[in-house]
Amino acid sequence: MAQRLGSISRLLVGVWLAGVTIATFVIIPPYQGLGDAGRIVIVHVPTAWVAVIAFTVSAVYSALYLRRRRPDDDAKATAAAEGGLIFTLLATLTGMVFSEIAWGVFWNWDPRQVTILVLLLIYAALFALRSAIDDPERRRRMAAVYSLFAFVTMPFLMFVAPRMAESTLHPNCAFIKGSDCEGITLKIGHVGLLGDQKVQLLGLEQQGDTVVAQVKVSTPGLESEAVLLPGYDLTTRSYTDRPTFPGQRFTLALEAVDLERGEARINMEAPGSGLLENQRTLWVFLAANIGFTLLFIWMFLVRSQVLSLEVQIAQRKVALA
Amino acid sequence: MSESTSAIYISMATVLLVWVTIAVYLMQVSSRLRSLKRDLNGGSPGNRPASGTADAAPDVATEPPSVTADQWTWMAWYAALWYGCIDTLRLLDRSRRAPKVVGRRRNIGYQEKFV
Repeated sequence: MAQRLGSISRLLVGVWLAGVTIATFVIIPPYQGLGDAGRIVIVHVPTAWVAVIAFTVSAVYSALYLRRRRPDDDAKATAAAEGGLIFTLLATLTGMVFSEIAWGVFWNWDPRQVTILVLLLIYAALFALRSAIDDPERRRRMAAVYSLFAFVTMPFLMFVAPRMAESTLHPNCAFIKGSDCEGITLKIGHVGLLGDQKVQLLGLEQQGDTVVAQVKVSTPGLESEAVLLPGYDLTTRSYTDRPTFPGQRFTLALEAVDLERGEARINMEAPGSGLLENQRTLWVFLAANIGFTLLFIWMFLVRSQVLSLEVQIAQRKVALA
Repeated sequence: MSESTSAIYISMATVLLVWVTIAVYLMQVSSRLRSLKRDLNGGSPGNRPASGTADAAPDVATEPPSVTADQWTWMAWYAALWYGCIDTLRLLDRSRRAPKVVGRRRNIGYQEKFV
């Protein structure tokens, strides 16, 4: 009976995820500024989210192992950490593809990319540690302690550090509530930072009801430099022209102009902003999160069972020897 | 190949990469589980474990192993996934021939938000 229920559950997870896959490419509309590349987000964010769940489960079972010293708890902690590592790796890879389409590079050492890489290395070290200790009891104890320490770094690396960084291209909450950039107000001649781009307001020129700003933008290390001319309509109080940063899909917009004081508020708009404002996208995104969580539970149950059986067999061999 | 066509194929390839990675992992782990269960139950009578550990597994001598049931599940799982991929392509093809104005108002709203 339990076996049949298990089979049905696995089948349902498969059907659910097949539905999510179809919906990702059929139901979700192509997104403004990103087109079809925005669909990657439906896979990228849930994989990162499931990694967080997996590392939390691993920490819980590690703590339980230290308290109860049951090999089963260690098996579950290891299975969860393994799942977490796989999902973190997938989140990194899918993020890199998104980065290539949206920003023009696979890897640019963005704070978010760096922190997820550090997290990957921390949890990869857990498995290196496990493989380096022969004594099973000692291995479990050390791994449980390490896993708890690794877990402490996880929220900081996943949620805090990338948001503390002022210079990031990652649309942190841009997908949910619009462009994350607050924009900066610059006087003529002054320099500021938008994302990782240095911007300098060179001048403001009024042409009838329109104001055109001259903004010099340059990438870190001055690899490229360009002068962009965003426009602003004084009557409608909105931008008229949003030029694109050289080699990237970010656009530069004038959001406010004060000609008397010679200053303007300029902002960087990331493609993907407000992605989840579309109801269909939002529902598919939520369904993907549920599907990936179920998939993790499946992976976790099977893997922890394997590890528990391995322990049982090893114990039997010792008993027979 | 236009930029948008290329983007959708890259997106599809990325999604496929995720599924293949997870499927390979699950396949390997499931196969290991089956093998361990066989090891645990299929040894000599003296090697049989205590009843507490073997209660869920069927007796090899009297009942066929659960591999068949698992295979059916796997086949159904893959069929659903493949059907999903093929159906997606078919629907995409259809939607390209008759483009719908789906979600465009939303996007306009998104643009206006920054005004």
